[in-house]
Amino acid sequence: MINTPLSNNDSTRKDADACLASTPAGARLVAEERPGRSRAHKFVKPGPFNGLLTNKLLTALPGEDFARLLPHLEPVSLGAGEAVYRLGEVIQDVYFPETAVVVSHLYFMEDGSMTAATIVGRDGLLGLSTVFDAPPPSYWTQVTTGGSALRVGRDVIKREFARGSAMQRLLLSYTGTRLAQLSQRAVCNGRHRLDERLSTWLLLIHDRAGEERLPLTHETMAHHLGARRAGVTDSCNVLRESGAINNHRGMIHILDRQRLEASACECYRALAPSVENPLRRK
Amino acid sequence: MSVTAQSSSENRLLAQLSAEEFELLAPRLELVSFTVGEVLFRPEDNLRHVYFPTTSIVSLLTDLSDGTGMEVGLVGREGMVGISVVLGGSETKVATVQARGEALKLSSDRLREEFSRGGALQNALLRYTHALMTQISQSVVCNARHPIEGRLARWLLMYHDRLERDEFDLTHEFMSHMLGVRRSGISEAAAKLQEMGFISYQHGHVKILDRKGMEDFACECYPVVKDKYDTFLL
Repeated sequence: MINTPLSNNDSTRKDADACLASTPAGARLVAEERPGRSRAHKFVKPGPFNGLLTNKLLTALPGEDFARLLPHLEPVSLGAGEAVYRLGEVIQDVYFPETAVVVSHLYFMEDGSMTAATIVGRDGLLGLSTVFDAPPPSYWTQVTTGGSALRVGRDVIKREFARGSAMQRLLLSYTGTRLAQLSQRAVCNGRHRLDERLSTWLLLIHDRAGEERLPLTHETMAHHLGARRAGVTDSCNVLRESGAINNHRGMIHILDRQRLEASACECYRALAPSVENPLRRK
Repeated sequence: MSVTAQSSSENRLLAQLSAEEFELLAPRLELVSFTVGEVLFRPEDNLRHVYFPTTSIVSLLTDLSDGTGMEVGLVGREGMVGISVVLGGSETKVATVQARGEALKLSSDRLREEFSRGGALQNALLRYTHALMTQISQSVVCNARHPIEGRLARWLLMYHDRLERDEFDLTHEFMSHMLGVRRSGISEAAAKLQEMGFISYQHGHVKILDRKGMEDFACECYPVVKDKYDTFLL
């Protein structure tokens, strides 16, 4: 049975529940090779689906709309470091991240450096540009922290969007959220100190990953923040000394969220409402 | 002022409408003039109108709590100001006029109606939204990585693209606000662009002298965004 902890429209989920109940043990949600659908991403492994639906867009869909989508949803697991879409690749499928997955759009610079722009977790979806009929993205879509996602073919999403139904409203509203996130991060990168930016970024990741331990090396963090590694190391030391985090062997352990929030710039507060975190402690 | 097919075709989104679609929309469009510094909306405002610039340029800024803002996007004849009306949700930006000129004004209700019809305007607006997202994403990266001279060159080129005029007035203070750097930083960067012969800059008056040279000098973000706009919007 689908459990929707983030859903605020439980009464509308009956259709979806009924649909799931009619398939023994949610069998349709177990990924299988489908004839005629070749998969470009060999790394994407079929994953078991634990029945917990946490993606904010999916849980916000009215039951009827969700039921229409359900037969097309395939659970997959995404591992840290994997590329969901490679540079210039034509997008065939979109992904709704579930628990623990955080994916970033990485831009490569001519000098070989990189910087992350968008951060997507269960607050959104990957492959938004396909909805806009946009050319292949000029960034690399890489998994920052691994977990599960639900994959669906682009044509299915485009069809839903074209109906002008709830999916259209949700995707448009998510686009607005993403524009707001990008705008705030553009200003943040232009204005704020690295230790503030690092704190904000860690909080954004933590909200989406929902785990206290995050597999983030100094190098990964430097790449994502568009900063030098030495600067990131210094900032990590400051945060560790304050007791906000611990960092050891490529793992960041969030020890005290309140302290981390106090070290973050205002950009975190401006962006926080876009994802609810059940783990957030008052 | 009445709106003709001629004046509306100066905005590239409206130019994508078919003759029939345009006929329907034309009576609702109103030609308005903007002066520099005019604020069209602020965060949380309920937008009653959207604007399709024809000869004006509008800056989208994100405000910080200390009262300073920074530009995240530039909208000229290729776009529409007030995209949050079709995306839904509250407005998060400040829209302020950066180059005087004209725009076509349309009521938000009418725009939503037109958008939900799913025709050429919906298509054009979705493509534009994506291009704007590309522009803002590139600023995220650019602001983190690139030196101020390259960013200033990029910004002047984006401005010049939308203005289609080689001379314009811009104060140090204004540019420092837009780029989110100190005034002294802008002075140095502008002096460098002048030394290299790309622009002349005196008493807040900019003249573009060598566009090609400035394109080569600008950070890599300029061609990335320009290409997206060129191939995707037209």
